[in-house]
Amino acid sequence: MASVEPPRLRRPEQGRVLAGVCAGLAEQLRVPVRAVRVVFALLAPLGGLGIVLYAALWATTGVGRPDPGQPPGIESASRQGRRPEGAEERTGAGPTPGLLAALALLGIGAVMLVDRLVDTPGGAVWPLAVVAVGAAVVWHQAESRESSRAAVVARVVAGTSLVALGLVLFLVGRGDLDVLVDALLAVVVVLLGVGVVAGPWLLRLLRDLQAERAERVRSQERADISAHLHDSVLQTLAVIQRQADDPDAVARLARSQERDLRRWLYDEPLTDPRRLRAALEQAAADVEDTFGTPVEVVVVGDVELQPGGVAEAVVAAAGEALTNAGKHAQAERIDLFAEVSEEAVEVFVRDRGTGFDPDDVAADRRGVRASIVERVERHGGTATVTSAPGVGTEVRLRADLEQV
Amino acid sequence: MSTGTSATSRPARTSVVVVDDHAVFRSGVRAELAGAVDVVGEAADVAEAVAVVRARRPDVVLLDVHLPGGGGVEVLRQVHATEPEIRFLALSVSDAADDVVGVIRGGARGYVTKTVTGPELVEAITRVAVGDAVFSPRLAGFVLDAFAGEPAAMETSGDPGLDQLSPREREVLRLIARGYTYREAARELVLSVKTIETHVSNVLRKLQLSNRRELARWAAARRLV
Repeated sequence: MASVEPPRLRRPEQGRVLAGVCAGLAEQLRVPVRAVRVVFALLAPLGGLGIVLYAALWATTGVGRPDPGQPPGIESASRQGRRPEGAEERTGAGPTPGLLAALALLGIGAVMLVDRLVDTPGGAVWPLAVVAVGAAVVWHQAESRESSRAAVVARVVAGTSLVALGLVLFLVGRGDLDVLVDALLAVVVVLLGVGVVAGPWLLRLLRDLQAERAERVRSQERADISAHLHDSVLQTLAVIQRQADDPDAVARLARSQERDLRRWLYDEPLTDPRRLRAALEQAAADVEDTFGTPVEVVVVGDVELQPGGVAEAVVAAAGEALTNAGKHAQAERIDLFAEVSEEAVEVFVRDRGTGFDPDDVAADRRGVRASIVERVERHGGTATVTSAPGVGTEVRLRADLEQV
Repeated sequence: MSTGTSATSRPARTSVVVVDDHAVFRSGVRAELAGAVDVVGEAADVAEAVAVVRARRPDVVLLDVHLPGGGGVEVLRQVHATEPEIRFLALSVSDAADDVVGVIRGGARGYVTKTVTGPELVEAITRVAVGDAVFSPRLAGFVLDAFAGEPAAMETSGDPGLDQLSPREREVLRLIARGYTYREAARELVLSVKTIETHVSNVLRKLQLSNRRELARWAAARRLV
C-alpha cells in the first residue's frame, strides 16, 4: 500500500480473447486493445513475426488483474448472498467478424512460420498446425480459473483430440502409423499403471494444495482487515472516548471515520488524485474534518485535471466555497454536485445556512470575489454566487471543456 | 398531516415494515419513526421479509439493499409477484451504483442513504406511501450517470423515448442532485410541485422499463474494449 508498484505487464483474466497478451499490452501502453490486436494480426503473416512476438510475451508475462476487483464490502455482501448475482447484466465481447478474421490471419501466419522453420514436405505443416491449436486450447485452459467444470472438461477433451488428430495426420502422411499405434499402446499402459499406483496420492496432494492456497488467501485478507481496523477505527474510538464531553468533536470524528470506512468498504479505490472526482472528494473531506459539517458529494462523470487549467481552478474555487459554507453558513449539510458533460465541467456548492445579502458585501466577504469568482474567471470559466439571508448560498462554477 | 388522536380502531398513520439484517439499525429506525408512522413489523432476511410483508400488508416497506437470501431485489420480486401494490423505499449504506440502480429497477419507489435524518426519512416514507418517487441527491447522480452518453446510438427498445431522459427531466434531476427539494426545484424552474413529481415519476418509470443494456456507464467504462 505504501510503495507505488511500477507498472508491470500483466495478462488480465477479463477482456481476453486468446491468452490476454493484447489486452495486457493495451492496458500497459494505454492504447485501444483493438489496435494492438490488429497490429498482431497484421504481423502474423510476415514470416510469423506476430506469432513469435505473441508467444514470447505469453511465455514471459504472468496472469494478473489490473482490475482491482470489487471493494471488500461489496465482495463480502456477494459472498454472503446479500446481493443478487451480477446486479446488472455485464455484456461480454462475443466473437465479431473482425476478430474471426484476425484469428484466421494468425492461423495462416502460424502455418507459414512452421513452413519456414521446418524443412518438410508441405503435407507436414497442416498437421503440425492442428497440433499447435490443440495444445494452445489445453494450455489456455490450464491457466484460466473461472470456467465451469463441464466447460473445462469439454475444452481439455477438444484440445487433446486436436493434438492426437494432428499427430495421427502427421504420421499417416509419413506412413509411420503402425509405429504410432504400438507406441501409443505402450504409453497408455504405462500411464494406467502410474495412475493406479499414484492416483490417490496425487489427488490428495492436489486437494491439500488447493486448501493451503485458500487458507493463505483467507489469512491475508484477515490480516488486511485487522490492520485497517487497527489503523482507523480503533484509533478513532480511542480519541472519541477521550473527548466524550465534547459532542461536536465526537460527531466530527464519527463522521470522518464513517467516511473513511465507507470508502474502504464500498467505493472504487481512488485511482488518480489528479482527477476531478477524487480532488472534490478530498476537498469535501477536508471541510468535514475542519468544520464538522457533513458534505454530500455527488459526481457524474470524471475528467483529468491539467495543472494550471481551468478545471483545476474550478476545483480550487469549489474548495473555497465549501470552506466558506463550513465556516459561515451554520448549515446542517452542504451539497456538492459536479457534472462532466461533453461540453463542460459544472460544479455546484449549496447550503441552506444563514446566507448573506450580496449587495451588502462587507469587507471580510471580499474573499469570496477574489478566491472564487476571479480565480475561475481568470482561467476562462464562469462563477456566480447567489445568496439570501436565511435561505442559504449557492455557488455555481462552469468551465468549458475544450480549454480544460 | 396529523389527524390527531381520534382513538378509533383503524390507525390513519402510514404503516411500515422495516427490513434490515442489522438489529441495531432496525431498533434505531423504530425509535426515530416512533410517533410519526406505525412500524407494524420487522424482518432480517428475504424469506422473513416476504412472509411479514404478505401478512401485515404495510403501506411502505423500508428495504435494505443488502440482505441475506439474495438482496433486497429478491424481496421485491417475490412480493410484487403477488402484491404489486405494496410500495418499497430502498435504504442502504453501500452506495454502490449497481446495487442501488438494481433495486430501483426491481420496483422500489425511491432510495435514501442510511445516514438520512429522522424527519427526512419520515418525509420520504410519506411521499412513497402516496405513490410518489423519492430521489436523494445521490440517486439523482446515479440516474444521470446511467442515462449519460448519446442515446441515439444506443440500442433502443421498442419505445426509444424510454432510453433517454427529456431535457426537462434532466434539469429536474440535476437540481435534485444539487440538493434542491422538490419545492425548491419547482420554484427554480417556475413549475408546480405536482409537475416536478410527475417528472420524477417518469424518470423512475424509464429507469424501470428501459431496455438499455448500457444502463450502467460505470460498467462499460471498466471494460477494456
